[in-house]
Amino acid sequence: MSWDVFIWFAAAAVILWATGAAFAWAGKRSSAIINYGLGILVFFSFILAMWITLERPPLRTMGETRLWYSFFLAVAGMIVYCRWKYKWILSFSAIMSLVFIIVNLLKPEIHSKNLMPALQSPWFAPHVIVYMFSYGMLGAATIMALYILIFRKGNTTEEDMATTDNLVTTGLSFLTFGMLFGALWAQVAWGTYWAWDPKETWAAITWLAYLLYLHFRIARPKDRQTAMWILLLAFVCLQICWWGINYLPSAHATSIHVY
Amino acid sequence: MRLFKKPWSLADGFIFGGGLILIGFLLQFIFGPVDWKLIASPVNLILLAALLVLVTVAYVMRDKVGLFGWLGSSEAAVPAVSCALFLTIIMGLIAQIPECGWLGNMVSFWPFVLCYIWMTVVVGMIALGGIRHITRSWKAIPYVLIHLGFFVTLVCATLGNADKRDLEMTLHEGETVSTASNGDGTSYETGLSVRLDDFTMETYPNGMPKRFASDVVVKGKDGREITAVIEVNKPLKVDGWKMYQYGYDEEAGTESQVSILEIVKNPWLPLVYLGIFMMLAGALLMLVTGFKREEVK
Repeated sequence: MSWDVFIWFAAAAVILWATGAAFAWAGKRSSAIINYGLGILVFFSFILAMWITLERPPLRTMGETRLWYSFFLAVAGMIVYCRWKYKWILSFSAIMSLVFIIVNLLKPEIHSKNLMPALQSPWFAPHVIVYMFSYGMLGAATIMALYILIFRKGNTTEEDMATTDNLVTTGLSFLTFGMLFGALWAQVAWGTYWAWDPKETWAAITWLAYLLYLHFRIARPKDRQTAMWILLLAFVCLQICWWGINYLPSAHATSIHVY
Repeated sequence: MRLFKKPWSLADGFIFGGGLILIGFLLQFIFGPVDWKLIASPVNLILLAALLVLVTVAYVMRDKVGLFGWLGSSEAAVPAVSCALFLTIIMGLIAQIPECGWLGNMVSFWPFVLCYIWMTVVVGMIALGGIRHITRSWKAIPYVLIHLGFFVTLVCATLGNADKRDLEMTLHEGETVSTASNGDGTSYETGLSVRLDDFTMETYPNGMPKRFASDVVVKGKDGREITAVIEVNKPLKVDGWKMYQYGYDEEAGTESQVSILEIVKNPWLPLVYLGIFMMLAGALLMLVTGFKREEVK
């Protein structure tokens, strides 16, 4: 299995997602869930096949992490749909996934089997997978924030807010796992669990920003607009942490995480 | 009598944070950057005791002193997290190198340190407040675990750092070494005697490094010899020291007969681990309980 056949798996998955999303708009829930779920399975089978062929988890390069991100965005969309029944969420998460699939098709960043010694650790896979799952959930929370800010304006429902809060809580829990797994791994690899490396600094910033959202929700439950803006700010921090850091001059000077 | 009477709110919190940053600037002008070496044991133990007393007293007096009641509430958490976030973002944007001045050494920048202390106190107060709720509802457990775990991690990581020994030991094949040096070149006697029998570096066909390993014989305090292989991600533990594969003679590459080990002793590490595992457990349970809506109202 290689990136060459990615386009076929991606096309099959996207078609199934589109069908599922169409059923969701039509109000046919079970057909929507079956089609969308099949799409997720097809997409995951590519990840699994890559894993087997590469003889290592496909988590090392930007292209490989985007693969997981597309996958978890679809999963997050599915969870929200099953739980809260928004008709639009499947379409939106499918489009978001598609964006990352297209980026991967244009810029797959093909790499060989080689894994440098520091990455040969049992912590590697859980560290990155929980981060990508978290990013997927927080991506879905960002979609909710945009939906609330642009379409809902003054008449946000309790349901909208509950969805957003739950997505953030789940995302933040996984963000905590990812960050702390990273710390435990760093302790085993270098004897230092936290060194304020720029990637770590931005991970802390992202974590604090989502904490700020949840605490603001408790302190000012009525001020929903400000809460949504905090969520958008937090997502910007998340993007800087994930890939923006590669373009930050401050990080280039010192980070071991730039790749 | 009730001190600081009015119930403090978010706006007061931001003024408080601004004040802290201002005081931090003053301290920075007067004393220069925070010198973390000064808090090495026993100073850090005294600071720990003082912090625990402060948080406990503040918690007990929360109904009498408005300021203390506020410190344990989300009204204080929001501005405290905001200030810490703001300064950490600056840290993320400015390279942490001496050329960037005060802001290039953020962990020793007084406003940063004061804001993190503030956040730590708030987290500790909230944790104490949460413990009382556990008796009423098990749903308070993840909440307490996360806050208490974060408090323990922040406090023990910061205070313990001054006691951490982080040394480099350079070994040549066949030689026995017992000293190691820190970043500024000071040499320390480690109490270990380490002999390097063989350093191996394997590469992938394209020349990328695949594996670094040092075959060593280590003699600790009790005189027993331990034969071991130290690799990246596979450290060796002897007499409270942890030995990590760190470097080699890069010019010689795969032919290197030199191995550099990093030797670390951190007596506070078990406490940091305790905090980390509490947070992990709390985050896991939080997935089950979710974001409690009754708290929102």
